Order: sequence, then structure tokens, then C-alpha cells
Amino acid sequence: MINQEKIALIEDMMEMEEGTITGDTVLADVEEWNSMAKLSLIVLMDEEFSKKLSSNQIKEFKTIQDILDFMA
Amino acid sequence: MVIKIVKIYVAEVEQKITSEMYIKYIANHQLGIVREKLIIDKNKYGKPFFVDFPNVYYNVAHTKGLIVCAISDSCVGIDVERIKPFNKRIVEKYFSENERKYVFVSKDNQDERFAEIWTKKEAYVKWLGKGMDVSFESFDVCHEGVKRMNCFSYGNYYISVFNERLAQLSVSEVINKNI
Repeated sequence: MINQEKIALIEDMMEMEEGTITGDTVLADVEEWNSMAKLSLIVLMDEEFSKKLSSNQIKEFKTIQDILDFMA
Repeated sequence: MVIKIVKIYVAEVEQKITSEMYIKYIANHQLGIVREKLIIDKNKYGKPFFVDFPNVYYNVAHTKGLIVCAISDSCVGIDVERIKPFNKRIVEKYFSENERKYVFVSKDNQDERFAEIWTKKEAYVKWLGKGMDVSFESFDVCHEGVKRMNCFSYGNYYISVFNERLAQLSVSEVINKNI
């Protein structure tokens, strides 16, 4: 899966319009990056990427790129 | 039973307003506190509080289109969520058995029941003020503590408030868009 597809998945998960975020986007600046988004990301990682993501690992994410790197 | 009042301020917003902007506006216009005197700090989990007004507790929540604030003289947590289709895996993974049964009992109004349980859980976690260190699956808002929970629908949104005691809510609508 290329980065653009992964970003589309993240945008869809956070109900954002396509093209709203890039790898450089800082999560603290994203209004939609809330508890629901964080739990949805754990579910997404498990179902789409077969990866176990913990809440401690989420705390380390600073930008969208950090999420993309975890998906890789 | 001690009945206390928690004041809720609800504002429909078209653009992004940060929690800090909103609480400063409310504190200024509703409590008469000069914005410049309002210093906000955060506990180690990120829950904000007024440094110079230790007896005034507040909590802010926002979602697309709406921002809400609860003010009380004891610790308070609030959450708001738009009633919309939800991710069923979140219910299966993070809700208690009682909560799952409550949401899935019928297909009618399922989105509303999800928003109710979700906001109750969020309001409880925010009341605790420990952020994501409290796991969502570790408590049950359909069982214990529910008496201290207030919840109501507001248009297409659901709002829940958790306070240390059963509290009477006073809800005000903030109509000034220039926050």
C-alpha cells in the first residue's frame, strides 16, 4: 500500500476531506485526532495491517508520518 | 443526597475554536474573570485547570460543529459526540458486556445509543483526568457510577457530564460566534 492510500485510510477514519493531511501534519494540530480516532487507529492497525498498537505507542506519535511509518 | 449545579455552555461553531479560547471566553463573559488573569496549567496527564481559581473546575469538549464546556465547584468531565454511524469494532473491543448489550439491543436508534455510551465513557475518563492511562474496557457506565452521570441529546449531538455527585445541570447556549 502506498503512502497516499494509507493517508486516505487515516482521513477516512477521522472523517476528514481527502487531501487535508500530509506526512508533515502535526497530530496535536488536528482537531479530529481525539480518543475515538485513537481507538479507531488501534482497530485499523489490527484489521488492515495485522499490527498491535498500544496506547503508549500512540502517545509517541507526533506527526502523520509516524503513523505511516508504523503501518509500513 | 446532595444536589449540585453544573453549568453547561454550548456553542455551535463553524470554525475551529480551541478549548483554551472557549474556556477563556466563558470565564470572561460568564464568571467575570479577566482573560489576562486566567492562567491555565495542565496536570501530568494533560487535564487543564485554572491556576489561580482552585475551586472552579471546568472541562471542555468539542466535535465538528459544537463545543461544550462544564463549570462546577467540584471536579467535572464532559464529552460531546455527533450522532452518526459508528465503528462496531470499537464497541466489540472497548465496551463492557452491559454496554455492548445496550448498544446492540436493537437496530433502532443504535447510533444514538452508541453516542450515549461513548460520551458517558469519555466524560468519566475526563473526570478522572488520567487521559489514555485509563483503559476504556476497564469500567462499565451501564452499571456503577451511572447515578453521577448526566446525559442529554442536543439536536444531532449527545452530551454527557460526570460529576462527583449527582448534579443538576444548567444548560446555556452561547450564541456569540466571535469567540
